[in-house]
Amino acid sequence: MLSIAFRMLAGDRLKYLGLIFGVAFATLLLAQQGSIFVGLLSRAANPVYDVLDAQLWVMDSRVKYIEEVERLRDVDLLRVRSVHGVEWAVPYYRGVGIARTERDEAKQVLLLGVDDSSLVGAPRKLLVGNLQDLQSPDSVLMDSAGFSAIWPGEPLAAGKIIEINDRRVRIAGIFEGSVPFATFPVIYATYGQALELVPPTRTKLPFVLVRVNQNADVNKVAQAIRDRTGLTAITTEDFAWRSVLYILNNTGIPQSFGTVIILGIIVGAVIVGLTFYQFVSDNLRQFGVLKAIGVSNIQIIGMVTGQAILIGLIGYGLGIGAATGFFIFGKGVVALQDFYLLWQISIGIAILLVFIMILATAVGVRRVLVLDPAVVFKG
Amino acid sequence: MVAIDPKQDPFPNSTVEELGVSARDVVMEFGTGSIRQRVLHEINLTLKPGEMTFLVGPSGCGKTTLISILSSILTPTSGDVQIGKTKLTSMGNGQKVRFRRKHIGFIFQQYNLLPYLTAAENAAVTLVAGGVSLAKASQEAGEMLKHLDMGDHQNKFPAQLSGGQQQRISIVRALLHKPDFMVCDEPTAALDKDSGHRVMELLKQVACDSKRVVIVVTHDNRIYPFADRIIEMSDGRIVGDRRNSPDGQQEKA
Repeated sequence: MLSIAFRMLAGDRLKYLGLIFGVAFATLLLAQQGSIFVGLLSRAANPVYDVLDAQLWVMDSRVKYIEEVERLRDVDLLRVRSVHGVEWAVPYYRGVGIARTERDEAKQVLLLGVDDSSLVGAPRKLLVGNLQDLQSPDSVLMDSAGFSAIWPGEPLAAGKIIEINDRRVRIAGIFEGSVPFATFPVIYATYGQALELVPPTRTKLPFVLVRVNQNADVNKVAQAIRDRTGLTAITTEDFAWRSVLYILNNTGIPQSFGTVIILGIIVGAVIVGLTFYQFVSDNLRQFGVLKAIGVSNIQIIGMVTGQAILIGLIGYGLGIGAATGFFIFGKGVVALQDFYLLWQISIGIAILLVFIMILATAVGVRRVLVLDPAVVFKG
Repeated sequence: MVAIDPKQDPFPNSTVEELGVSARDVVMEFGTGSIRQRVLHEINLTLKPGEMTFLVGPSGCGKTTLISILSSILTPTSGDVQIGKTKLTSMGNGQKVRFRRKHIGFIFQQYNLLPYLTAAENAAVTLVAGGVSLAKASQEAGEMLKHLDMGDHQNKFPAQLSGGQQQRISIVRALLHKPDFMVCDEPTAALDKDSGHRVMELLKQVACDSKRVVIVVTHDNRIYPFADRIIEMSDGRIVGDRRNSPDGQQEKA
């Protein structure tokens, strides 16, 4: 009977397309918005995860997430180094500056300063230049997206000169970095260089990056640093989560995306549910004929379920395909970089669709099951 | 020919050719409490195989309710219905559905062809419901349509066919699974005189044989000459039962 069910479905082309569009639209909306939401949250964690060698982040106890910086005293770096179990501890600068190009255009940039000698925390994937170029005087590295934003259309190349806080620096290399939460151009300098590029203040050290001895327990060392210095010392993983949670708790992003996602679910369920109900209602007499000539309720349920599964599969496929296309074609847009369709979201939507289609099937099939086949004798 | 597996048939020996279809003291009431209404009053009748019986009477007299009960679509409030040795009134709903699928063929006033299926596929629907694939059943239906000189129409959709052609397709649908009992509800009501006569000629030609009971509900007195027997109803009661001889003479059954 499935072949008849599918012919019945395709026979009402307008509703068939409407149902597929409803499922595909809901799928696209949920996949796209869900992935962007997760992508945005991961951007909050990216700057933490980008620092590969450190196991612990030490900071002022008032720091709530990576973008919010409270300065430490220089002596705090030495105090951390003196804690038992610490293999090394290096300064890590993070701040915002204004960069001016040779055309006197100003652009806000994210300035990161890494340890002058070890370069711990510096980017690894350079598209132009070498990491050691960073140690040359008045040299910095810039991310490729930032370079393209400041010099649109120009090929990536070293040698460009910019001014940061009235100091001229040369872009010695270009790296491919993960996109931070705020999409400013990202500039890496040595810690010493970075301090020269920012206005003078009494304290400048935002973070201390720590690696523990090979046999030491990271959590115990973190606790020791907290006890000895009174500063916050947490693992990379914890700091990344702290940053994500800060975004979740202190911005309207979850509410905004949550609203869109909930609306997507409701609209998808309502469109699909009502259209499917209407489709079944319109074909009620035909179902009545089938019941009269001896098609059982189980076969009817099989037919309606088969129709729902077919709609769900086609709609889901189109929706996921469209979402994938969105992210593939969005790769060229800086604002959409690092966003991609997560398989977990795809599976979540599939499960959600199963529930929506079960609901639609239940609503539709109920009318058929209670239908008196004697209806076919009415002219 | 497509054979239906006898193991799937819960009623392999319907014995309708010996015993026909009978109703005993059938009463049907609709509604509850003060709005309860009796629409059939202790109906007793026996329909014999090889005969085409017409059930006639004014609108609302209970004809459709009676054929719905005889064909197991409705369950009477009281009384028994038997097709051959099979007592319909003691069956569960699932059994009734399977019984209808195997032993009863339906022809409806509005043809009730499925608009998205071709003529051959429409004719094949009952076989498909019995588990035969649509392609195989359509092939079987196509053969029968060819046999009835309707082979040219087998790939047409209902909207491309005239009313008479659609009704002839529905006759093939009702017959393809070789039912013991055919229930025809106003088969000519939506047709002009000539089309109605052609449909009845076909029905008489292919449906009536010694192993099959055929009942036709009709208002159309133009087709009375096709009847072997005419049962008249009024207000839920049988008020007349007569034989229709080939010369047009009628005698009490």
